[in-house]
Amino acid sequence: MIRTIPEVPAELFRPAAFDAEAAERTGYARYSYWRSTFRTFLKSPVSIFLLALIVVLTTASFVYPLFAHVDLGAVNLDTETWNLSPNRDHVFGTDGLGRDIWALTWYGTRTSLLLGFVIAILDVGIGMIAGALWGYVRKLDRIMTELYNVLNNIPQTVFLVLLAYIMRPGFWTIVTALCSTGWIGIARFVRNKVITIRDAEYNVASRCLGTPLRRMITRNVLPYLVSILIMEAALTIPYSIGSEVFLGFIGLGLPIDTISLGNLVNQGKNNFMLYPYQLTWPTVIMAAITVSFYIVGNRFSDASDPRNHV
Amino acid sequence: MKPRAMIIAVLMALTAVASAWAAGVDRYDAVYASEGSSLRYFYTPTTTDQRVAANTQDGLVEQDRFGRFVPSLAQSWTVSPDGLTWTFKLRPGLMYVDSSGQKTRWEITADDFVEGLRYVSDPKNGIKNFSRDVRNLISGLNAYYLDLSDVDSGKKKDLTRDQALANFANVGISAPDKYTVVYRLSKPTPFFLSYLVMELFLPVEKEFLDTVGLDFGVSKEKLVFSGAYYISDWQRSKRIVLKANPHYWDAGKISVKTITLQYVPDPTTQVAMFQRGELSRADLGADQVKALAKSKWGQYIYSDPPSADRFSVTYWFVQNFTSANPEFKAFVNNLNFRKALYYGIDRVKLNELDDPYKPGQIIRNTVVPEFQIFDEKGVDYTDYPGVKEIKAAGNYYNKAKARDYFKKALAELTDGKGTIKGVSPTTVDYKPIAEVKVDGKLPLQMVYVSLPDAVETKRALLLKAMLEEAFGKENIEVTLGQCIDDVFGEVVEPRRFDLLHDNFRFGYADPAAQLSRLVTGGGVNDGQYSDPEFDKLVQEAMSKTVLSERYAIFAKAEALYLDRCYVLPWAMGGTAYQITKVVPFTYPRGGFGITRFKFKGMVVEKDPITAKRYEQLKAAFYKEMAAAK
Amino acid sequence: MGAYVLKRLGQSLITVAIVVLTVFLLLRLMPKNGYFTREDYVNMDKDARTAYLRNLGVLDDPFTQFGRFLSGLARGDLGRSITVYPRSPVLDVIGEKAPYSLWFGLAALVLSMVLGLGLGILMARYKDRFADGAGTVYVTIVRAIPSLIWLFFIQQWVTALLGWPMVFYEDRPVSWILPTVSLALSGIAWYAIWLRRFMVDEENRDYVKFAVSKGLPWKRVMRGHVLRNALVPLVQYFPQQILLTIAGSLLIESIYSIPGMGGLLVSAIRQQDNPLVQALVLLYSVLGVVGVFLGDLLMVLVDPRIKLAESSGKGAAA
Repeated sequence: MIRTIPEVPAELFRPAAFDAEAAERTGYARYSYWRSTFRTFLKSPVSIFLLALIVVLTTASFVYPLFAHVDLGAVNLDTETWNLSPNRDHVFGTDGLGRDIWALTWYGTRTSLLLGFVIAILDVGIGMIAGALWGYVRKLDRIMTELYNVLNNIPQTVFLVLLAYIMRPGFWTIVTALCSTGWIGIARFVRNKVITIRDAEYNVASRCLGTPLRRMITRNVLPYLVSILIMEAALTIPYSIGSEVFLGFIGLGLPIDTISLGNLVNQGKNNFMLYPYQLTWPTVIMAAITVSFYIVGNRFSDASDPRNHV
Repeated sequence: MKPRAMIIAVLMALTAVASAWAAGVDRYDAVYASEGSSLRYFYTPTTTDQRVAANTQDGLVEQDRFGRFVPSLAQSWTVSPDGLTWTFKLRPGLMYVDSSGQKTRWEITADDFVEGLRYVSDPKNGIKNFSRDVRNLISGLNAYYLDLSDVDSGKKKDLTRDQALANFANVGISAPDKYTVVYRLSKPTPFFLSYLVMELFLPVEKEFLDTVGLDFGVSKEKLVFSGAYYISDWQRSKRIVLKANPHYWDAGKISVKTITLQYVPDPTTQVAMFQRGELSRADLGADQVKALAKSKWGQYIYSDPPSADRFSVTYWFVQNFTSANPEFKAFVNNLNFRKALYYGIDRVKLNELDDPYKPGQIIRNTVVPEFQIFDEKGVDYTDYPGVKEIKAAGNYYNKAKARDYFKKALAELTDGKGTIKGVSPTTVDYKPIAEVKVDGKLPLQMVYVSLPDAVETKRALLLKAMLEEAFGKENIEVTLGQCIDDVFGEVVEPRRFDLLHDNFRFGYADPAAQLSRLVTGGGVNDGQYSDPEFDKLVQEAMSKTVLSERYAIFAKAEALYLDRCYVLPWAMGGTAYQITKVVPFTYPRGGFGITRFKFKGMVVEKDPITAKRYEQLKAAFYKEMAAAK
Repeated sequence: MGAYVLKRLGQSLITVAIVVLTVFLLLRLMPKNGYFTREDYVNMDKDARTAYLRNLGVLDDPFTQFGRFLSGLARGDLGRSITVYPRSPVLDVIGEKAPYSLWFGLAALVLSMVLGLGLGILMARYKDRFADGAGTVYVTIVRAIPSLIWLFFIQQWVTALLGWPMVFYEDRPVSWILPTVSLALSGIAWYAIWLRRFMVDEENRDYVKFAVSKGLPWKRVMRGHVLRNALVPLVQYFPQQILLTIAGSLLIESIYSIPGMGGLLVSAIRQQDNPLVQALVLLYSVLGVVGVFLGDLLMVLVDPRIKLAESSGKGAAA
């Protein structure tokens, strides 16, 4: 199919004069990567809402225990108060020992978030350093690739279970087990990015123009990496929380007297037929957190893509 | 109801109008949560293994529905006057069947019992349950086993393995003819029959064993069956189907022809499956009982503790008399403090976690379980003077008494101003279970250790709250510690506890099964206390062969032991809440061995048994039992 | 080509060897206590316990044990399980359980490919419209909320609603549906989200814009260019996904009581069943590296621009 271009009237065109100042101006756009990223990110009300939700839930879970003065070890010796349905005194009801599920949920949220943050920071921190080295130091490539293949081929349950037995179940065991395999995935991701960025035309051009290394790193490389890392960190949090639930399911999670969302969900699950609210509330909070982090992470990754900056 | 079951039910109703099983169903569907490990019936680490072994293999004797020892493959037996030689006469002409229910060419003969014992006593076969007790029971068996073990480890070099194996001839078991098995014991053992219900004394056909070799019991084809059922299907983590053996010697007693056990690890699923009619019985946990009680299923819920698998297990709190925690060590070696603990533990409240309905019914104050040991007149050991009063006392919890004793202990152990005499500040290192700082002042620091499952964790929290409430937080502070799953390796052996929740299986029908292990240096003396008076009484009781004399002294020993609070027994194992279509009291019961797991005689009905009906049957049953004695 | 394949195989062999050796040595760090229960300690004296462990073969030093494992392997003998299913040949155990995981896994994989790719195409086609939104909600729920939770709710509610059995019965096909669907749910989300992303990426490419402005029908551009090119990075993962279905899913198999491979590795490690653990780790790592290798070959087949020597280690989706 051939389209014909209609005649364009000549009077629409006029010659442009050369203006040295204006030429300079187009050469220097008032483009800031970070401002654009945030502007794109904050354009969507959903992102704002979820980000606010994360901030509120995180703050609440860390602040609540400071003000609540609930002694979680305090077991109610009066069996009448065990397994109560939600009521005025206990808005989420009570568990099998008469403890208030509302309070438990906040404490649990704090533990789980803490776990997620620690894992995310460690994973991303180690992954970034290792990945950068992997990308820049060519000698390391063979070894790191082999390490990647090995870690990738050991089923993760092997790590989780073995470490739980060798180190005994606990907060740092879960952190170690998840990080021991988690970092390498991020490292490879970073490495691939570093390689592409390092050899990208604009960097070659920059080098040729004599841009100092510091500026190249801060302006040309880092922005790409930081956005990826923030996204990875955000996505690691729901993953860590999910892993803790899974570990609790196979009996190797945090000790049962530690209050975490994973433990609350697993205990609630056992009694679901009988006391559904014991599962419902912790689940709702957990879902709110994991979904928010997941969406925020993804939105941020979209926003941080310069192609989406218009 | 499924079509097949319906047809069967209709056929049954037509053909058996006059029969006693008219209302019965000939299939039984249940679940199992502990995965079966293998079909090698001499090695039964899980209850599933035990259940399968019990129903597919018969031994010389078995326990009936009253828990009595009755003839099984042996028709009759005699004991020599010195009590050392036991002679069993077998039923003639019984054949093993294979996994399709066909007769094999092998007959069940006396030799098979000799082979069975030979198999379990070879260390190479790794039969863990082949314990010191059993080795010392039969004359020559211990020496034979030790020789073999030393040959294997290289300790004994002047003997070859074949020579050591040939020495089995010196072991006290023989088959003088095809249908006679003779055991020669190393000491008179009036309760010998209670050993014979264990899997270790089952028969095995030598010719068959030789053909399958190492593959013995790895699949249903690598087995032949002497019991009431044969295994028609066995799939790992899935399903076990047992079918009635048509050639069984006691086939008339088998009303349930097909037994299907499904692997369902999740207890919640089990109850839902029962409600949808997929199962014949479901076990209920405490919280489930509470929730179902208000529903239409409430009328079917009842509990029958003596029929629980773990009824004969006694739960107790072990106190560490050699604790590395100087504060607790000072206190626990003081009788008044132990008594304070004894009276300070509210057994009813702790039991609410297991049994919210009748938390009192699963209290056990004695070490030796009831309903297990009877003297020549049929008197229960736990009804002997001394023990009887303790058994009847119910919940020993008494806050006033506990506080009194605690005050006395404080007066003896502290200077009255909160400083514990002779204790210097230190850090108690029970890592990785716990770590506590002690300062030699009140509150007394103590570490309570338990397993990490949900109920144990709840119990720990509850116990802590209870003790701190009874004696005051200014006087006592309980730190909770958990081990992963190995109480011995993680806690007892490295001595990482002050108070430990533990339990033990009961092995055979004699008080010695527990009491002889609790003496100074005994196998389960985990507290490491020492009481010469108790040791002497146990020693004395063990030397008596007349049951009533023996039990009288044992009862004295146990009463003394409990009065001095060396361990704190408080509950029996298993609450046995269930909803079931199985008529209670129709199947065997007992507290040890495996024959108690038989389905023999079990009657299954179409509808669940109501709690009301259970009460009626229970009254009738105990009347019948009293008459049978 | 031949040399490349040989080199890759050599590398893979090294990887597998390191994996197996690592797990082998890690296993030896576990406490020996785990072989005995509370009651065993009372029944057996120290000598009896030592004899028991000796007969299991776990007392020898790790390298003797590893040598024994290798020599057995050379003869095609993976040994016998020692604690989980004492004395059962490991191959028998795997042979009995693997088919369940394989059938469920393959059925679920086909389902997730069909539905996932379909959903991905719909989402890309109607980008920023209802289909895309609904798809995103689904993907988010499945990927963000811990699977245990929604798997549990599916089992509880769907079986009650439809009156289906709660667990898997071999002779009742209706009980096969839920486990398969549950198994496929996350696969569907995976395919949908990545296909959507790759398609959207492709749509923004200059060649697509050119083809459209040149006047090629939209449908043809989508089918002939966008979809084909978007599938390339996904194709790489097919072989590994197919091969590793044998590993089963611990959660789903335990929820529906399917006698598959899912829980086997965990219980083998817990009970320190070394021969079983080693065999499983060997199996999974061999399948893993073979899968990656086949994936690379497949990439070359579907996309002639890719050369073998470069293809390793550069996947987009993870």
